[in-house]
Amino acid sequence: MNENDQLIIVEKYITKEKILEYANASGDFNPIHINNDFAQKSQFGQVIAHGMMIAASISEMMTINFKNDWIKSGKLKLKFKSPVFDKEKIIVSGEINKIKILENGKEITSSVQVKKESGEIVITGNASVIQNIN
Amino acid sequence: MTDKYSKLTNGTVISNESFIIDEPKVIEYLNSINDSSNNKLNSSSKNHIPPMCISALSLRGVISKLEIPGGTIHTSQELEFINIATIGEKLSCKANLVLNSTRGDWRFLTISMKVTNENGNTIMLGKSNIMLPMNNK
Repeated sequence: MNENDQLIIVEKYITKEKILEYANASGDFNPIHINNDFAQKSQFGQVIAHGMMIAASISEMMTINFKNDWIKSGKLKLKFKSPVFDKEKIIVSGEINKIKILENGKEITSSVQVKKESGEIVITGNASVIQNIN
Repeated sequence: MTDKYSKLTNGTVISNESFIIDEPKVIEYLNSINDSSNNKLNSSSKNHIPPMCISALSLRGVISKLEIPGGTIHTSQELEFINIATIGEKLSCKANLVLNSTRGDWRFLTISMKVTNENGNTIMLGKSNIMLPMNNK
C-alpha cells in the first residue's frame, strides 16, 4: 500500500428495519432512531440511523483493507455531519494520506468518509493503523 | 435555562459498569450492521469481539446512566483499539465527563471512555461528543 491509494470501498443500504435491529443489538433506544411519531416532530422529520451504526461501516472497511492489524491497533476520529434516513444507500471510502515508518513497522493514516448516493457527506474523519513487520 | 445536566462537572464518573459480550450478542450485532468482514481475519483473531461492538455496548452504559433525552445527537467520536477482547471475557467500561457546555438550546457533553478487561489491560479508549436538547428539565 502506498500514499494516495484508495481503500476498498463498502456500500450499504440502510433501512428502518436494520436501524431497529441495531437499536436492539446496541441498546440505544433513543426515540429519534426508532419512534416515527417522535422523529417526525424533530428537526429531521423522520427516524435516523444511529451514528455508531454508520461508523461501524468505516470499521468494516478498515477490517477489509487491513485485516487483523485494524482490530489490534486501529484509531478512528470521526465527525457526524448529516443523518442517514430509511432506504438510503451509503458509500464508505478512504484514501491513504500518510505512511510513517516505525521501528518495527509502519503507521498508515487514511482519510475516511461516508457519503450518500447524492454525494451528501455523512461522516468524515481519519483512521490509522499500525502494520507490524513480522 | 437549567437542567439536571448542568450539575455535571468535569471529571464526574458517569458510568462504571462491567459486562460480558457472548457469541449470540456478537452475532446479533454483526447481523444488525450486515458486517461479514470478520471473514477477512486470520485464526489468531477468531474469537475476538469486534471493537465497534465493544464501543456500542460501552456507550449503552453511558446512555443509560445519563438518561439522555430523546433527540440527543451524537456529533463526533474518537476510538483507539489497544488490545483484542475475546468473546465471553468480562469487560469494564469507565466513562468520565470531560466537558460540559451550552450553546443556544443545546447542551454539549464530551465523555471519555476506557474499556479494560479483568486483567486490567486496556482494550479500548474513546471520546464521544453529544448534544442534548435543553428543553428536558
